[in-house]
Amino acid sequence: MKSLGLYAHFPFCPCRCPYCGFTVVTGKDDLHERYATALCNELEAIARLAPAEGLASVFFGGGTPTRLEPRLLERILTTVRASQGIAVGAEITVEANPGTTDAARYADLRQIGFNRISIGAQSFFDQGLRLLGRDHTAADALGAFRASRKAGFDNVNLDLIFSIPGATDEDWRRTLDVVVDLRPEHISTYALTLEEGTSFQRRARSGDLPVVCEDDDARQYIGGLERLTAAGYEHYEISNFALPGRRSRHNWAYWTGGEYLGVGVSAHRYVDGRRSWNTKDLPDYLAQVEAGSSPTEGGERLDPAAATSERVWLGLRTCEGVKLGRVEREGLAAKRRMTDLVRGGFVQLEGDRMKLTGKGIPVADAVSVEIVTVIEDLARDAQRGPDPPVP
Amino acid sequence: MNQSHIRNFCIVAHIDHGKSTLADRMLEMTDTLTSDQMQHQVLDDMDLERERGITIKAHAVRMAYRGANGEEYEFNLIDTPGHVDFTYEVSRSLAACEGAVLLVDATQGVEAQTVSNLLLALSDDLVIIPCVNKIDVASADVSGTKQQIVDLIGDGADEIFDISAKEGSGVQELLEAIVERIPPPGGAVEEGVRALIFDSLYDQYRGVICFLRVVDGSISKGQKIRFHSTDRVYEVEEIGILRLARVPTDTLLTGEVGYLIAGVKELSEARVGDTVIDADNPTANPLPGYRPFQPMVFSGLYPINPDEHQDLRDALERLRLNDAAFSYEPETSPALGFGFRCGFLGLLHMEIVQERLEREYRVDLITTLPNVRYEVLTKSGEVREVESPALLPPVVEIDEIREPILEAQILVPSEYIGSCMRVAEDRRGTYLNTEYLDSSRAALHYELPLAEVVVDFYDKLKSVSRGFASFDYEHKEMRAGPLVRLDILINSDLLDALAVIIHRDKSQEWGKRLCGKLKELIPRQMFEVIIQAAIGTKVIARETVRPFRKNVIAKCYGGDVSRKRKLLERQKEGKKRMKQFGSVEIPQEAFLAALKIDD
Repeated sequence: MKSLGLYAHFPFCPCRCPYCGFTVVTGKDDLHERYATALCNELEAIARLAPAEGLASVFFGGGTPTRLEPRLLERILTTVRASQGIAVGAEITVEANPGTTDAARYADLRQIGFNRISIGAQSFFDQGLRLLGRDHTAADALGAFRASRKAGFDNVNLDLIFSIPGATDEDWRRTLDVVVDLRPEHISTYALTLEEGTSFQRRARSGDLPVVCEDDDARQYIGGLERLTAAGYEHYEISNFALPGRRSRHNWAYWTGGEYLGVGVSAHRYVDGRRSWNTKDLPDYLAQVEAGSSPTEGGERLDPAAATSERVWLGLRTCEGVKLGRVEREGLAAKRRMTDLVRGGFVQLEGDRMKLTGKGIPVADAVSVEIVTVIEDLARDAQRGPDPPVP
Repeated sequence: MNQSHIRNFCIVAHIDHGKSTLADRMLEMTDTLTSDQMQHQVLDDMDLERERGITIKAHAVRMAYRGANGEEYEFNLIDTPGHVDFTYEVSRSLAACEGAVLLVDATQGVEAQTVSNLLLALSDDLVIIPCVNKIDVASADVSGTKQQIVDLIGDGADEIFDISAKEGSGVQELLEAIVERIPPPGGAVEEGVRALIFDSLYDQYRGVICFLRVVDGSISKGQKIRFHSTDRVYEVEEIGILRLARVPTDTLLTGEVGYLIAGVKELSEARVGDTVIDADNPTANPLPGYRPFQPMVFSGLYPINPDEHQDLRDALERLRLNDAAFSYEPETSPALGFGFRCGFLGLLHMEIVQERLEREYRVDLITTLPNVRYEVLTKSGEVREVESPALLPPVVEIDEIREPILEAQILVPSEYIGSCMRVAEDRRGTYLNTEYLDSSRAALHYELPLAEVVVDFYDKLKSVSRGFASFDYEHKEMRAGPLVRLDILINSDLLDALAVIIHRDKSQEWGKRLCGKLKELIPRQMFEVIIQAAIGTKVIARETVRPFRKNVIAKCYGGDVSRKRKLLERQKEGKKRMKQFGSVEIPQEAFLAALKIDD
């Protein structure tokens, strides 16, 4: 039996960050109680999916889960225990934001039963935080980290953003210096991405926001990667770094084909080879669950080609790479486009695993797309014989 | 109908000068169709033509007109294609007429194309009835336009009609003038048949439908006929006249215009300009003016996806059923794989064929740079025709390269003479002379290499003259010049599809700009892409497309996996639309880079 994780989504935020493309709502804090009840109802409704040994990981993300009062979070976590069960030693993570979480709150979170906290610090540089439109300062971020330590969290993640429009390499370096000094167990570094429908994207389109060019973005990414690995962090996924033994088990499952449940508005799940997702609309979500019907809005079962593509692309994002079958391995090795990638130093084959090299990591998507294209060519060749020779 | 009561005519006009609107009015006023039957501008029936405002496929329509004298006349209005690429087709349509209505837009004045078609009409001894159109429009310069017409046709311009095709004013008078001034067709009904094919089209149910004008004798259903140029014999399955639809009859008599269906399988068998004669009289003299089809502009057409090669072949075959004026033959390119070398009447014709292939037959194409046909005199004294730069013999074997030269006329308001001359000279034009049509308009005469005209020359003229310049040409001769082949190399591999034959003095600039344009159009990829332009082994320009520095989605967690996978799938589909050349992917647009070199 495979291990199973659970993701619960909390859409509430005090304000919407201008770069955020997630499902969040602002000014709906009167709905906390109803939302918690709905989550509990949804959890109970899927109790039949509970794994015998309990959940291997639980992740409360958002949005800002800590907008909810601790008693509501506790009620939900209690319902998780009751309906799904949580395995002994499971990783139980909650996301928190420095601007909205006071010091006392961290102790509550620890006490409720969360054993890992992910703090949306984003930057330790006030100008960077202002450029991002965050409602907290560098001092708040520092305070949040210290409060979490004080509350007894010995597994802390800090989320960081680089390639902030208007910020410099030096700003990013300073943030990294602070973070390395703090020595959290886990660090995620994300290049700022202009997501569809965000105010940053609109501003970039109208020329109101400077666009970070590929070269600058690459330099900051590689700079961060080198700084963190030099400080003893394992670079185990494109955007993720951990001290030994501190990889995020919950997220690891996403990248390696693990299955997970998802509850709450817009939550996705992957169960029995089928991916499905809830409605993104909060009133709709509440209405569905309260009426006793499923908030699931859509789903897909991956066809073999999509499954292969996903396996290769996600696997290559990790330090362990992707495992290839013998036929795949031999087929790939015979294709010029593949040997070009190996000779170009983008990927390496180690036994039955294919991994990105240091040179391949910053261009992981381009490499994956190339490899998936070659795999599709192989499948086509197998069906209809090879292409006619080009003169 | 008594031969003396037949009037065969066409309308000579520039695009947008109101030809189709006038045709609509005539059809209405002769009760050939009512206004609610009227699909606007009925003579154009292809979408593409309507969009481009060009009549490519000529048709004819018969109208019954009751004259002021109370007698009934048979009018055959023969439509003419309206672009410089189709001069020969126009000339054959004109040859089927005894008269032409010269229609000039009073807001625009006379244009080069009108002049050239008018000259064609005059050389066929057609009676010209000049009309000034759009007199209802505020900006119309009726007297100025009339002066231009008088300057053009001199004495023949004693009566110029003022009309508004849109409102119908003056059209009644024009119809009457057609009766009075255009002579009835000559020819003798007792002679053996001679009929001019002035157009044809392919119908998927009936095969080829020929449009023809009976010059002598008559053609009846069941008769055995022969096409003079191909010497092939057919039996007439159906013959008839053209109203808005085809109306079968038993016989077409001398002077009449109509259609013929005779089991002709392919358009290439029914050449425009050919003469239909009696099957049992193979020695009958053909009508004058037949010219075998000769493409002027050539381009390689390749499917982006090699799997679609057969689809492209099928599409070309089917398209040729509809358009006998282009040729194709298989060609292979080291860069592009299997494709076809196609010949066209001109650049516009090429664009139309490409668009139809992509739109109607859904084949994604790579089109190589258009080029003209060169003649190469080799050191061994042999003359070779070269339709593709890739097939140019090695430099050491070449004695001289000859290229087609045009004699061109540019009509332009005087204030734009300077800028149009600069464009012509920039395109290696040799100035001949300037003729003033009136105080404000001139005709510039130039010799121009066709190769310099096929790419965007007309667009250039238009843009430097605020759209006022018009342009027309005819072929003059093949002439030797200092021409060289300029190659494009991608990571040291020859990209044959981008090779051009070019004047030595222009090669440096061309190479530099083409490399620059390719750098813009070839996206960053895994590997560095080096673009070089070279003549022989000498590199004259070089650009580099740097490889990706970063290409990875930052966040990828549970909720987003499906969405992010779709982003990657899109990236993959984008790659598939590019042509794989070695380890480099080249987008479709890059192959037409040279056409956009000035953008």
